[in-house]
Amino acid sequence: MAPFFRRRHRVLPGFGLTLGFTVFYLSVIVLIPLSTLFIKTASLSWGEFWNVIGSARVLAAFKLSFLASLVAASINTVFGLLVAWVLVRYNFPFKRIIDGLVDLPFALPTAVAGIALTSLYSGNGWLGSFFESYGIKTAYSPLGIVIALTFIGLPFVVRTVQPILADLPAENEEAAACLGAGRLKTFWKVLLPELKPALWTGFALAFARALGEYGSVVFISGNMPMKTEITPLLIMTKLDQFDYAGATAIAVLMLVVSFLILLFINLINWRTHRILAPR
Amino acid sequence: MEVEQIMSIHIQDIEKRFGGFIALRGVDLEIKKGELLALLGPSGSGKTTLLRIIAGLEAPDAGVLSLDGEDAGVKKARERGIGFVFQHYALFRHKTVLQNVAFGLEVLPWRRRPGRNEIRRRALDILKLVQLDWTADRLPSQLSGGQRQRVALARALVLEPKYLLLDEPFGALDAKVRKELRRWLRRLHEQVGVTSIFVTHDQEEALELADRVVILNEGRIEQVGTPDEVYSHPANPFVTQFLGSVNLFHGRIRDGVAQVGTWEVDAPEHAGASGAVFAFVRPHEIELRRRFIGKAAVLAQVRQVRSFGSAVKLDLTREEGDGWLEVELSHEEFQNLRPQVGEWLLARPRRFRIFPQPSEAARWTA
Repeated sequence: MAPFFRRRHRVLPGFGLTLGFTVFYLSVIVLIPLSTLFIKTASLSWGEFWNVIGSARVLAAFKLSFLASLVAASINTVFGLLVAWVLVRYNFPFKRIIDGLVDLPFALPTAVAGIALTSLYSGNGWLGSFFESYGIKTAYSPLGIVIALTFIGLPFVVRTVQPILADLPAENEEAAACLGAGRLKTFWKVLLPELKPALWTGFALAFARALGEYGSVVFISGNMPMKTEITPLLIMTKLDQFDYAGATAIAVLMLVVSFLILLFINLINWRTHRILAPR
Repeated sequence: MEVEQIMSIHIQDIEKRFGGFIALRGVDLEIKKGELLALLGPSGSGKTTLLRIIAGLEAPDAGVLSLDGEDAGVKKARERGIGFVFQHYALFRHKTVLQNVAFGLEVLPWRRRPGRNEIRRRALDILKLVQLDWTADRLPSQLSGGQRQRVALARALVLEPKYLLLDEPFGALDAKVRKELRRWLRRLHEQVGVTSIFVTHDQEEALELADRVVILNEGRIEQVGTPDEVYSHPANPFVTQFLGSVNLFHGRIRDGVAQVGTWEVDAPEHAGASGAVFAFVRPHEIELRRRFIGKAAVLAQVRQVRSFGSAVKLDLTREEGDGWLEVELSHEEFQNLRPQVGEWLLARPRRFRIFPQPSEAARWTA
């Protein structure tokens, strides 16, 4: 039988073993739990499935979840790059502490974050009352959801861009400067293309995290059906009503859409990686 | 007036320190229009810092730099009309070769920027000049080191700079490619005629390629001159030792005559000096014999013979002292003498270069 993979000599052996373990591990941790979702959903007929998915409340929740996550991930991409830039390029007092602050949204229980944000942004909170005086409602509105999702997604872009930025040789920028490029042009034409893969990855991670976020959002959103109800909450509501099949149906759709989006981002990244791979 | 016309870059009393490290301690230099100049020195001598100051990538702490009679201190790197070639090429790896070369034209302010086709044509012209137009659509990662270096050169030349600065241009290449590129750069310089300065730590490269060589050491210029001048008439012990191998003897000088071992050497240029001297002898300036009649010589034992290349190199140990003696013989001389490893021979220098040793006190106040 012809071997499936061409055997090549490597300094570190063990491709078969590590690949086998990877498949096994991913199966146990990811694939098997997720497949039960599909099995449970299969108890619905196509008609019932479409009924669940197509209801106005579910569609509104989907729209809100994806839009808010998209906006939050975009905000994080821009300002995450800025934070990474400052942390890599400059030295200032308490730099280590600020660097550590970036990771806090990871460590904090999301409910704590949600409650803290809500008390801050509600009508009588510090920031909320300020915005309210201009007629902008922050907590209990889609804007509040975006704020919460931005908070929990902050570390992703910073931590993916930071090492790449630190490794960029200064010579690239100096070469651009010698060739007459100003700061803006150097940034757009020389730096940004180098950072693009990391930015995409960070964006994808922040987006995925925001889509699945539940704990912090339920506090700040107000959870009004059709208005400020996100998809994960809708799933919880269905579960509370013992509508397991309906809950999994929504979950499956969310899973498929998220997977497609992440796959798309990764495809973009693989393409640029192929160009940049050999340094 | 005429002098100003010829002088293209004027450097006066430039100083630069990085924290506690002093990179340049008061450097004066004048660079003529159209010449190919080498900045030569060991690592840490300040040669790259000087190049980067000329380019505007580094700001001097003190001193004046003028380009074509204009004070360059206020000009940014991009306003100086300089083409810079980096040691590790610094090509934009996400851009094709053509896009790399065209970059300087692409970022011109829109009023001075040529049209798309014009940019493409000019970039291709420069690529043809470096004989790489066939790589236009490749990425830098698909080229060899020598080709990347030529692309970097093309990129620096596309704006027709007044000065071309090269930082260790051949440092990362293997010996054969380096030699080819060296000859090629010399031809290109004759063709384009742009004032060019390159940094190197390889004395052979500097002497072979440059019109004039500037030798730097510990942030100071030790000597400036044509390759022939600096090699044949080194100004001091550092230059002598840096430009090729050399044998060192110690002696004393009085009234313009140096006493080195049993030899007496006339050194009228140091007539005023007295005390200890260094006496340097290049390997090819030593005669080896089995006997010298009526002439003083030192006894030395042959340790190693290397007979490849244009000359035969012998390592010997001196009888007195613990010094090595490096001798170069032509193949003909070698055939006549046929020295054996372990054999004792007599060595006699044909020529000494005498330099008074700075006294301990003088060295500390300098």
